[in-house]
Amino acid sequence: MRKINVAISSLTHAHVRKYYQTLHDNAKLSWVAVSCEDEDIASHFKTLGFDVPVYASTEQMLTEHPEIEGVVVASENNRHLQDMELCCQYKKNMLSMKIPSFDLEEYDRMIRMVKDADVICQVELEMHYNPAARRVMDLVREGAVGDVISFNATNITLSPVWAFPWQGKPEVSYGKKVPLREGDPRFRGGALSDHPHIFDMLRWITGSDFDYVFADVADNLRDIPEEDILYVTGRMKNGCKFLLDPSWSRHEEHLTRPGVGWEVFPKRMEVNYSIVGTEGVIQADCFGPNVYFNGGPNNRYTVQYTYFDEWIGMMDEFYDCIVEHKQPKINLEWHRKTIEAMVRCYDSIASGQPVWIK
Amino acid sequence: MDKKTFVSSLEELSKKYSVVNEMYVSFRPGRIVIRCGKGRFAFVYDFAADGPEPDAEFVPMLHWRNKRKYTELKSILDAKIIEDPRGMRIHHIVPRDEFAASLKNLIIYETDLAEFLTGQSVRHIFADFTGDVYTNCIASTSGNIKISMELGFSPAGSEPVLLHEVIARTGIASDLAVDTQMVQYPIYVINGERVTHYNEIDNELYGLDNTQAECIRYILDVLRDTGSVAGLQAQYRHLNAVYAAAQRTKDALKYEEVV
Repeated sequence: MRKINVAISSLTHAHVRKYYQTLHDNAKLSWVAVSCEDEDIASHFKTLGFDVPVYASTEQMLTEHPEIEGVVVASENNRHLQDMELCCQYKKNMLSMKIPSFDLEEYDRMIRMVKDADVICQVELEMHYNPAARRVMDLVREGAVGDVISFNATNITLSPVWAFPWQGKPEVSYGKKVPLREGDPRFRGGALSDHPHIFDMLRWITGSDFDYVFADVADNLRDIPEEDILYVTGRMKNGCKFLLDPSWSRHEEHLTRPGVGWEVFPKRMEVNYSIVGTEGVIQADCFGPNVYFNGGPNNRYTVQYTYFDEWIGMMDEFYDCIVEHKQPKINLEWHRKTIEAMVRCYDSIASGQPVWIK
Repeated sequence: MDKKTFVSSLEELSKKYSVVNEMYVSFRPGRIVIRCGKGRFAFVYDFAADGPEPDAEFVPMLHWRNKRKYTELKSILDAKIIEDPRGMRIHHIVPRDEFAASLKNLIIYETDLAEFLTGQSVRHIFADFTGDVYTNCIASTSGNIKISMELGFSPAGSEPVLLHEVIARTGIASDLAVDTQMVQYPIYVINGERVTHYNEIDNELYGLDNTQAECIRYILDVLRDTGSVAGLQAQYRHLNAVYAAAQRTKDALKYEEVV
């Protein structure tokens, strides 16, 4: 079996810790290096026991390790273009975080760069490797509930801004400071920017694309400069309706590093589907049921998740795509329409009216 | 509806709590008409057929206000156990029955319930309908609480899909247990492949369907304080205005003001 050499550039994204064990455990991958500019994060990484060298810059890492074939680009959203440029320059395949960019011109540049460099770029939408989500997709395709009238989904979590401060900075999370709407002191870049999965799943399950979106944002739960509670409704081009909740509506302790005691609400994250068809309804919880405890620093009743295996399947696909030199299912071009729909949700919040998508 | 049990239960509780001495109950499609010493009242529960009742006061049957789990949710908010509601999530997908016969019934039910719980009034609504089967709505209240509503009908015999979750600045209140998706019941009887559940939550009205039990308690509350009827009628006019705004948004696809 051929092994491929992989690296992580930057350790700042909230999902990066999910990769540590996967890269370490997967026998097809050889984890050769990481880069991290932040000394504090780099120091913490060194305490985790992975025998992997840490470089202060991605360029230095790529120069010192020409054997690297794939890079997990785990930086903040506004750094993705620069990191991708480097990877393309060094002809490295990439696994992009879930938001390559909200700037659609910049996004198109990324698509061109990847094509020109003839490298693989997979986008991290791990729900495709979630077994419950996969079963739901099969059930819908088998006609378990007839024709789908409406796809409704939650992707609700606590807010990560205390542990990952860049997500609380609009210019980093959204890429620039854009006011939510006239007279509102908040900016784009909050909960919506953190939750593309259900927008993507909607496209897969309906086999269609967005016709219009309508979104409205509530007053914040938290004193942060971005939105944290919002609802999105709309219609797909095939007539299927949807209602999405991509909020940060679960309260959290302000931990600077995720760990036991993070939750105030017992379940810190849920992705639930409610799919209404002409012949029935599918209710699905992609992360449940689980096990429960009370204890930890605050002695709160808490959900302990029992399956979080998405990164295993995703890295298997990344491996296959590199070995066979093929673009993955979730590639930059596919994902663009999802990103555009999210941007149009922000436009709808700004205008107070639905936004139609060509 | 089990009319005989309904009437006997209503009369029994009315006597027990000295609400009215005698009452005459008649059933018409979508309404229950009651004549008593305090007057004649038409308690209407089919809001799609809400025409006037001759010689009777129109009373919208907002029976959910007497559902125990909702009164407890309201008490959590009223007692400020959680404060400053920001959002509310509602799922209401059920088989049709006489109390849930049309989307208008569901919109009125859930709009009134949201207002009852939050103490605020819906001012704007956006809704997209699939015939009279299903609608997704986003509503905004006088205090800027955003409410998402998924309302519709499932095939006969389906388990209900119900959720009412209030998201407030200081906490969350919900009628569904954490890490569950479906309504839970106090009793399950398991016989091979068949699972039967029972939902006994009202000992005074033991054995009666819970919606009918709520109707009895609602009727008694109104008869106890007939001065509340004018307020209920005004609320019903407002709920109809919300429904009308939702209908307008169906055609115009824009955020409609409730007027």
